[in-house]
Amino acid sequence: MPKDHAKAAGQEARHPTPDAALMVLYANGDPGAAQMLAARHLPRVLAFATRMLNDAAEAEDIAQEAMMRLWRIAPDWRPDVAKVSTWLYRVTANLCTDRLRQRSRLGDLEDTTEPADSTPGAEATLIVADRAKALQQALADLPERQRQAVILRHIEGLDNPTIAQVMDTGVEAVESLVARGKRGLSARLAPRRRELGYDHE
Amino acid sequence: MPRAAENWGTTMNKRHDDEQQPATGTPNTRPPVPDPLTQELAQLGQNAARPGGDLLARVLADAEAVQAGYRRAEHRPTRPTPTAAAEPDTAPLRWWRMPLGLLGGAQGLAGLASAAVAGFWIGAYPPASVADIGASFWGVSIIVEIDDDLFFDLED
Repeated sequence: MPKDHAKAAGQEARHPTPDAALMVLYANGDPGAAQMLAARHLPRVLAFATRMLNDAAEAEDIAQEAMMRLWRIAPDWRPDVAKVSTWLYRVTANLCTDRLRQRSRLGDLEDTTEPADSTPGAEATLIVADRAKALQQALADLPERQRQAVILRHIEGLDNPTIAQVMDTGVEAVESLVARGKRGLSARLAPRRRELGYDHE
Repeated sequence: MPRAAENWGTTMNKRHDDEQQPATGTPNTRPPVPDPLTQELAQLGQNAARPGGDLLARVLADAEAVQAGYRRAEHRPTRPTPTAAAEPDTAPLRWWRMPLGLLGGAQGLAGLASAAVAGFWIGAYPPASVADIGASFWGVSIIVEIDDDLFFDLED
């Protein structure tokens, strides 16, 4: 009945169902749980995969596979072990690693894929688009673990303990990877500083 | 009048005329600013790829298909075992609820337990057929699907 739906929706907005509860609901056949989980988590999974792979089509494959694994693990979900978001980051990271290794095995050592978010802009915004493109390319050139750490820390905004869970390593290692990654980015961007307008700051 | 660098028996490196200066900020007291690279990275995150309707539809179709499998498994009567668990077994029988003897005893179980935790973290899961209580269930070695490629070496 419409009245009940509106009331339920209002309650949902005020008290969003926790992910762990959604997982149980989903595993037990609730028809709305998957949509809520997907709405919450698919954007982040896709964004992370896109950053790691620098390829929109491959990132979509990875995102779909990561969510598939979430659906499959629902009956065995362990809320005491991980948050859904952390778990998905880790699965996505592993899938990206796998895909990157496939790429290098196929001899595709040069990342020639077009950056996923290259945007031709008007003159006024061209410099900004160039910077974003340069930064994305510099990210793609980093060693994979450093790239992962920098993305999780400074683009996804995770804290170091969470990143450590995602990357299956220690907090100190995460800090080291982030620091090295940022030094690597600065080094790669340095030759292009004038061209990209950094020197005017 | 600026204080002279009095000789206190040590070499004075700093000018001690702060008291005579107006109380404006010095370079040492400027509040910390996030470095430009951090800001650029954060901005990059603002342009994150958004899932198209197509991808979302595929993801939800997957969800529905998997969920349908759970419903089918739940409606199948559970097979009674000699070591029937105290809790009512309403969920699909998972492989770790099997009688211990079939799992290779305690030794076998320890290996499976660690594989199960590892499996949880990398999104591995038993083959769908294991969730169904069928003939293949009893004759099959317990295998958790783990893709070798997913184990990567730490660079550091």
